[in-house]
Amino acid sequence: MRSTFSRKLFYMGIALGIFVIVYFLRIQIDSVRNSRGSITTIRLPAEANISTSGQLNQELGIQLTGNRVVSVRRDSPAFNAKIRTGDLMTAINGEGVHPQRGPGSLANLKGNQVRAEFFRYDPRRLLSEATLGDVDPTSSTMVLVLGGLRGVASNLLWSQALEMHKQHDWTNLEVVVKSIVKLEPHFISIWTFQGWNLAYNVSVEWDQVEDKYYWIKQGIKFLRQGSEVNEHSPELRWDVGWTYFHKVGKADEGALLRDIYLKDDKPEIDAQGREQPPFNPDEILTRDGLTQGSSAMDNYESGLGWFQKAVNKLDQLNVQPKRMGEVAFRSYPAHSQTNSVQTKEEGGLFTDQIRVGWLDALRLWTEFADHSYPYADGKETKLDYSQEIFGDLYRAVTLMTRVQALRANLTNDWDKLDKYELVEYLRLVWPDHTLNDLEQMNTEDRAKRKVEWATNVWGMIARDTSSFLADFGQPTIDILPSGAAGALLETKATFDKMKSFDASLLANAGSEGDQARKQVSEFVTPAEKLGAFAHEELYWCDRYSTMINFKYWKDRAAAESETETITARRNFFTGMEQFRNGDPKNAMTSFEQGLELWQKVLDKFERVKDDDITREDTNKIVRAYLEVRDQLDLPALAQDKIPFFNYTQQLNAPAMPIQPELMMEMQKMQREFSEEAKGLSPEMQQKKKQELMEKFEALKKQAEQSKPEPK
Amino acid sequence: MNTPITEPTWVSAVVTWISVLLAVSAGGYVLAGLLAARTRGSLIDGFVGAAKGALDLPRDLMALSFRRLWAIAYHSILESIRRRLLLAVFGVLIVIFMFGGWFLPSRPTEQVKVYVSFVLLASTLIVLPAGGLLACLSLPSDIQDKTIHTVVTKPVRRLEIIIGRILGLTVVATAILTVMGAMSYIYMRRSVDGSLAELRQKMGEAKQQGDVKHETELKDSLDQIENKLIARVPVYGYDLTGPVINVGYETTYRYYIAGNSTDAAVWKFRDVPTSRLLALKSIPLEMTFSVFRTTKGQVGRGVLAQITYANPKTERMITDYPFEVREYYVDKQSLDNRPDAGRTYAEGEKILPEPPADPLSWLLDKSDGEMTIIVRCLSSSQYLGMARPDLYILIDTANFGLNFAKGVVGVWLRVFLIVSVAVMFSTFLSGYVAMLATAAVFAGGLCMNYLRGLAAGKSEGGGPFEALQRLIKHENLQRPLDPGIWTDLTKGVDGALQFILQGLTYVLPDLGVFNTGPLVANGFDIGIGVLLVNLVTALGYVIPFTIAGYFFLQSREIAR
Repeated sequence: MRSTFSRKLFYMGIALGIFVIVYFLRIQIDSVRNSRGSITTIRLPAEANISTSGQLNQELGIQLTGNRVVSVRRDSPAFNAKIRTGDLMTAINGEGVHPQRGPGSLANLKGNQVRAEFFRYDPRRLLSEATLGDVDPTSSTMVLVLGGLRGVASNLLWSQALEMHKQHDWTNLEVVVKSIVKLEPHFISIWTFQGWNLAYNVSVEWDQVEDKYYWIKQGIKFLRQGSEVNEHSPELRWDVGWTYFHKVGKADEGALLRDIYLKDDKPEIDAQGREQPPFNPDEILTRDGLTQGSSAMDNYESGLGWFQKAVNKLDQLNVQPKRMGEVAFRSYPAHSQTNSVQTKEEGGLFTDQIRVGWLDALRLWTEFADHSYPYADGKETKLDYSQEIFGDLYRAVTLMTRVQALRANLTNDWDKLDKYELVEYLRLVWPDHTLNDLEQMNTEDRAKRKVEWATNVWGMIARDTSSFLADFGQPTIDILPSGAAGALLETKATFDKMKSFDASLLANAGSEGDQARKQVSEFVTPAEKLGAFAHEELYWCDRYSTMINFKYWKDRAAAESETETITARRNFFTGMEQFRNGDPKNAMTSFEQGLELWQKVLDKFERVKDDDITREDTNKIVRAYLEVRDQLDLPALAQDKIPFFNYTQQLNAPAMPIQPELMMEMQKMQREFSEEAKGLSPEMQQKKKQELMEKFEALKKQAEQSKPEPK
Repeated sequence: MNTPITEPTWVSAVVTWISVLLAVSAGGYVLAGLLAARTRGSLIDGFVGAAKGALDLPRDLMALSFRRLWAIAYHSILESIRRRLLLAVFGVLIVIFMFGGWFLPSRPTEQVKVYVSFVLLASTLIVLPAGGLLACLSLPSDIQDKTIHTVVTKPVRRLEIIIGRILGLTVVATAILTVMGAMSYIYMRRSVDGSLAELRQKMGEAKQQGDVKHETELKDSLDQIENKLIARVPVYGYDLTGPVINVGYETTYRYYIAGNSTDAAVWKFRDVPTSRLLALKSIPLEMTFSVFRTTKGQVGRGVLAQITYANPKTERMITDYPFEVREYYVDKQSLDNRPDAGRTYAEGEKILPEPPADPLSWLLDKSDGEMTIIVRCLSSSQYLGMARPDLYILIDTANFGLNFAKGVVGVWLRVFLIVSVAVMFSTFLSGYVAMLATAAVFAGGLCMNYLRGLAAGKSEGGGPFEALQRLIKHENLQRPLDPGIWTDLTKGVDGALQFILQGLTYVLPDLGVFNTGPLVANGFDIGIGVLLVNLVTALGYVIPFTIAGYFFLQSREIAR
């Protein structure tokens, strides 16, 4: 019995020892982790020209966005090595790849001295826990021991956590939450929810800003831990970035929180009394990643790093984000950079760092737009194209509209066609054509007009189509779905056959007319198909970019990176400081100089000018300027002399009350519309509504002009 | 710490205890009588026999021998040692202490609280099952092995068998707890002292570097830890009036006063040791208020409060400087004896132009130990929340180590109780069934508040059958059930179950009352009064369980 007991004790000791060693050494099974995908190495011929990264990519036959391969040239070394779009270029000669890798590291090397490594992620290999992320022995042990009761235990712990939240027992809440994730380490929602709970809900319960900061930090650390345990989750990385960006940056106490975060670069003492790395180490985020710097990053820069990691993870896994649209998901690195540099400017920093920062923001917005976003099966769109591509697309849509109108109206009896629909088609040729004009036409006039119309429409088509087809570029074909190339060729072929086509025959009733109409129909089909592709591409491009207001942000970054803009903003900042410090004379000079430059900037960037925030900012400066003038006892400026008077008047104008007569007229118009719209198609209803809106605006302007001006 | 102050109500407690004991005894007697009548063939004979059996108890009680008691107890101790229970317990303890650090919070200031809670919980969870297991298996294994026959043939009373087992197992549990408590305390102190040393070192470095902010932060952390390594002996007010506003939190532990208004929270004290205060030359207060903001106010600035110290007999009062409230921290405010012109000294309506030379003596003169503390919130649109225990006068502090030991006594009382329950069950159930029954009592004891709510019909969703009906029909908890025969039937059955449950809540021990861990964890002294109340409460359960165990053992054949 004694020997049996001793043996049991011995075995227990060995098991305990292994357990302890594994825990303290935290062995990471790298070979298992790396087996999450396949790695391919390519070597080039000795004579390959690889002086720059661009040349290297050219020799390899690839195009990259970031690290991700977005296109592979046929019969290139990459293609032959079975590299495909979506693969990641991970290393060159064993060193990590950065998007802006300089030529220096490749200089003096021959082609066959360069090894380019590519990684393709294979989700089928995610069989063991080590492939999912860091392995925590405690967690794994508890998961194994509890077996099926793990879910029950998690539920009980979660109920306990809710109860502790109710009781405001924050210490034990944190302990319980950490226990939950030990039981369910790969359940992403728990990390997301509890991390958010700590950073948002618990922090708000504390009164002192330093305490709020502590809990936001706990939430961020919690999410970071989650991202280490779950290597396959881009969402957790995004959540870390979001907490930095939104909770630290956009909170009401944001200014204080940001300040505390900037200064949180001291090592921390943990509960065991050991020194831990600082939460915000002295690093700066450069294009090549983190490097040692003399100051810590601000929250937006930290957020940018994490958003970038999230996007890189998305690229690596080649998946869609689960909780939000891809467009929104990918936009946040650019948003972070924009906010970072904007906040620095608002804090009075106007050095060259700011210009570089705005240029970085512009680069990030451009990269964001350059990604292909899916909108239907097999179809993708980018958020921005060159002027040439947009031109081709719009012309294709114009052609489609014309040919569709031509086909639709040739067979219709114009006497029986709806007048609203007919007048729209007439406006295609005669833009000033009114409903009244149409109502005054008899049947004979209509028939004559039909012929004229058909001839004119065909004239427009003939005039524009040859140059359009000739100029339709390969880049445009490349971005359209696969059927577009065929539709283009067919359009060309059918158009070529109609070089000497007589459009006047289109309105004829006999066989000549039939023949003409048949010819047109043969031309219309491929043109319509091409136009449909172009229309769909434009629609989704516009929809995605509008969703994120991409055009504004890009223009904003471009505008802000201009020297004139930075100088203008510096003048405004200086002016405000001088005004606050009781130096109105110099403040006035600063404002005037700034406003002059600001006018040039806004004239150059229309989209930025049209934004309400720009309007409000300008209004604030103008008001400060007028107050300074007032302080200096200078005479009040006439309205036309006040800078940006008309521009900012929209903000300052009070809401206009609607006169009763006008109100009654509007109600009458609404009733008439309801009656008339009943028999109309949706498109016609929309057009009718637009007419009524125009009438209403005219009435409103009339009422405005008749109202006495406010004092 | 959200722990309300509960004053013991001895008279009603004793009356309830006697009532329950009589009710259960009566029920037991009737049951015994009916069972006896079955074997004897006559009701009267049955009840007479039961009465005679009942009289065996006082006879055995009078014939109790401490020597025999100790002999039984000693053998129980030996049996426990032979089962190598101690090795298993200490093995588990070592594993827990080694890896317990994984669950610690990252904030050193909360280290003491979590460590104390952790070690006391670990002790409870290790010793309770161990003691319960031993107790459940002890008697049944004797009965099964027939070794009990060698005992009962000796002149050993059945009562001595029961009490001896309880005593022996309690001694074993006491030994385990003593060692565990000592190890826990050493483990905890080593860890906390390590953090303190590290913080002091960092503070020194920050001071050398001239980093005042970092030094202040570290000092604050140091204070927070040291604040928990004491055992406060608070002097609570006997009454709190003023806070009546509910700000919408789910718990109503605290009520609130509005800022910049006539609202005030008034604590009334009596039997305040004024001589001690005069000797200390200060009135040291500690408080933990809650803050509720309706606006952001001044971002970065705390909500302001102001304290007025008043003598209700002479209407003299001193209003101190406003201070910023730190929510969830222990705010310390102290009225010292300096004649400070910045404070307000008033007598009734009249404000004194000059501060008195000896303000404290002036204030406390003729108070007869009575004092009033008035707290006002000065910040507009903000609210301060308080409960009666949230403010107290702190004159004395006890030794933390001794307080920790008193916390372990709370664990010991639970073990004592569970051992007696287990021994009782083991007298008529087999070992493993007794274990199940003991586990059920243990679980019920931990959830007593919930069971009481269920028995009183206060739980949302109704009783078990109503809850089942709601589950099946996918109905939420708030919507009343549709009227009908099924609802009536459900409510009827639930009502009956609630009645039974109500009775059970009087019989099952409430293990939560013995949990004095939070007091130790938050740095409050466990008074002798509290210990006494807990001991009496424990005995109030142990004695009836012992008596029940005696009668159950009496009824078995081995006892004849």
